[in-house]
Amino acid sequence: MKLSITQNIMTKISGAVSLAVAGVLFLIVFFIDAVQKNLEIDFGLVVQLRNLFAVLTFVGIYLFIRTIMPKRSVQALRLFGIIFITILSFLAVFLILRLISIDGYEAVEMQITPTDYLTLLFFSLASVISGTAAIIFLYTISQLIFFKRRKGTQRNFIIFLVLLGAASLSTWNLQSLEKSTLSYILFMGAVIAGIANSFKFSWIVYLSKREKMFSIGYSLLLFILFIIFNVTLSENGFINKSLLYYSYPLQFFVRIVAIFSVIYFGMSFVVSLFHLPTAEAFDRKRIELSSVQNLSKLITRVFDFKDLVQTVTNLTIEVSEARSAWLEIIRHDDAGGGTIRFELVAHKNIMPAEIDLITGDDTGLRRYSIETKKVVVVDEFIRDRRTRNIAQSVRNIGSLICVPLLSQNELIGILYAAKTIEYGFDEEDTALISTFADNASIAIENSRLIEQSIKRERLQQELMVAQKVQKKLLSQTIPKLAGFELDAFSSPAFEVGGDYYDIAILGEKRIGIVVGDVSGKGVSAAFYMAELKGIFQALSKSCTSTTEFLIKANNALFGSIEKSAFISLIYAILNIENATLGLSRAGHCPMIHFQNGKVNLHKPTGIGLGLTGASLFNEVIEEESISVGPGDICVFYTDGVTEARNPEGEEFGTERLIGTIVNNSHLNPQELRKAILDDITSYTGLDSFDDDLTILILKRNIA
Amino acid sequence: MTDFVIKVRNVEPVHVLELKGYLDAHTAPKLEETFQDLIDKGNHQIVVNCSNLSYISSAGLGVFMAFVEDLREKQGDIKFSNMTDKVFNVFDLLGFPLLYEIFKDEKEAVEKFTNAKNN
Repeated sequence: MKLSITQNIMTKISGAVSLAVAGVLFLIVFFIDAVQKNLEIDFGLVVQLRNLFAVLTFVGIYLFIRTIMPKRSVQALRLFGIIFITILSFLAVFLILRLISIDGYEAVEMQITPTDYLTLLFFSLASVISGTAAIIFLYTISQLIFFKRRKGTQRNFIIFLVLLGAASLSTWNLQSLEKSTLSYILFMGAVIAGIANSFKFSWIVYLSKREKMFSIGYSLLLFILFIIFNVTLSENGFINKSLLYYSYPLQFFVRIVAIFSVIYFGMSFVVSLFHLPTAEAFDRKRIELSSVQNLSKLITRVFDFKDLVQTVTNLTIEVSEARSAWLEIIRHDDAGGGTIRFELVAHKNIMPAEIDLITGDDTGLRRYSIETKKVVVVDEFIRDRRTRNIAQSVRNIGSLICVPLLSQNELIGILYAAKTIEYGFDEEDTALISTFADNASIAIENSRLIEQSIKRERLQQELMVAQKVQKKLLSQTIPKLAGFELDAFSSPAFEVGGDYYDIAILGEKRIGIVVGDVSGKGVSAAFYMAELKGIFQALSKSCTSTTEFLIKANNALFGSIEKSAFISLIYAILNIENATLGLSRAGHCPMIHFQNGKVNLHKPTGIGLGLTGASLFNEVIEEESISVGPGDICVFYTDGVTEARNPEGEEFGTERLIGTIVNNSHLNPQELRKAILDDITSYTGLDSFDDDLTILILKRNIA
Repeated sequence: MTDFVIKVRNVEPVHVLELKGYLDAHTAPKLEETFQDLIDKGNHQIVVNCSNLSYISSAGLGVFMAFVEDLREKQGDIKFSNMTDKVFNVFDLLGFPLLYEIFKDEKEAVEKFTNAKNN
């Protein structure tokens, strides 16, 4: 950045210095001429120096012009503009000079000598102006020629410049131009080389059709202006006389450049004209190319769906030269059982209300797209039977195209484009939009997949949070009890589950133990599980019996939870002092009681919570009282334990569970739980459990 | 995926649903649809024949709970028949026998409906 600024300043300084030097040289030449005219003496060496300075003046002007002219890769039409302004300025100056009659000179054949100072000044100025103009023309045309460099382009142009220079300089010491055959041979050589260089029109190819029209106009105009320029240089013209007086090399230079310019712009006119018929095809190819480039842009936009669909819509207009375009995407309603809905995701140059009419049921365009998945073209919007009914309400549409967007042969949306003219979409357009639509489909589908996976990722993270919360809801620490040992374990099938256990200290000697199972699995079950936790924490301490609690819990839940949801629960209150267990059950798995090598299943009557109202629930609920002897084991569990299945589909079952308990009755609750889990996993052959599973074990110490 | 098949038979005026296979959280929506369909068509007396039902989960039981109240309000009901011991055990644990009439044989269940009507 800094470097380019410094460079810029350096260029400006060198330009200014060049101009200053040119100015000084011009003044020196003018001074010498003025003195010489008075004395009418041939100074010899001074004349040589004067001629050298005259030539060097233009070298200085060239160096200055180079710094102010636009740099490479400039649009061709801008270069045309520069030439146009220059030649107009030149001709304007010429006209002004014509108005002042200048006759203070003597002409002997081609030798011109001014006789007064004013004429001398006009001659000098006219020479400098025409020389400067010629340099600008040559420089600008060279930019056009070098628009696209091919092998030889530069070489050919240098040959031209060398011949141009040689022809100009060959006139250096001539007394009269008429007498030099060599100079005229070189002159012709330079003109021929100029013609050879006039076939470089690569810039035309890059013009759009509109620009080519401009180019034709500009070329013709410039061609005419340069003919006028040449006429002004003709033998008897004032400019020519000035140049002949001022410097023979300059006169040659300006004339060759003038001829070269006429030839170049004449050719330019003809070539532009010939390029016109193919301009449209070129334009099309160019758009195709750029749309292919744009498609690759689409791929980078898949992270922003809105941006993507708007880009697709804008590019559709660009590709097909349509007036308006819009894009509908199919949304699948999860709730509606497979019904599809179209959503307008992007539109340009058309009102959504108009779109509604066009894509509505009246036209059947959408239905056709859904059924056939083929492109529909409406050539005559006003007369087509599909659209004529709505043509009154939709303005500025002559023809219409509907392109289905397919992903793996599934319709994912429809792309529409409309033109004001009828029959606006020819076969080529249709093919082009179809290709474009194919690529757009891929981008849109990718974008949707990314969107989905982001959503899934977020859900997953939220579930992880829910899992943490639920783990906190399950009793964190197992209280230590005098004479008893407790262990509890719960594992959800998914991130969160519907199993619940809790241990509450109800009084000094009373402990509440609860194990429950909410119907269903996953998030909905987890919500009810959390509710159950609340109910238990709120009610358990105020209830003196297990039935009282279950009745209150059922009252709280029945009618407030979904009809299809219910909770099975088993609730025990352990009296540590007399080692008795009060037990009630609401639809839950029985409690397994191991005592003296035997097993009892305790299954007091009780209906699941939330299944029925108080009248029936309260009527049937029972409470058992169980005395827990030394070494006795009480196992509470959920159906995830007994319903764990082996690869053959057989359930683990209560019998196997009892067997494991009996075989491991010597272990403490924690070890026993591990033994049970080991037995289950070796039975199912899986590392994890595919159902919510909970085990709570209470064991009375032997001593 | 485990299979679950529902066959609906019309034993005037009762509709018999024969359930086959595994009724769990995945297959429950299928049963829900069938119930909804029957109710929408004004069929309120339903017998569920469980002879080929090999497993029922809490989500499956939830389906009956979701519809039974509505059916009973419309003078209809859901009655069960031909349960295997295993399936009955699940019903029994939750206290379903206190909430529903369960018959050994489908015919008995159907007759219960028709008799009730005649009376």
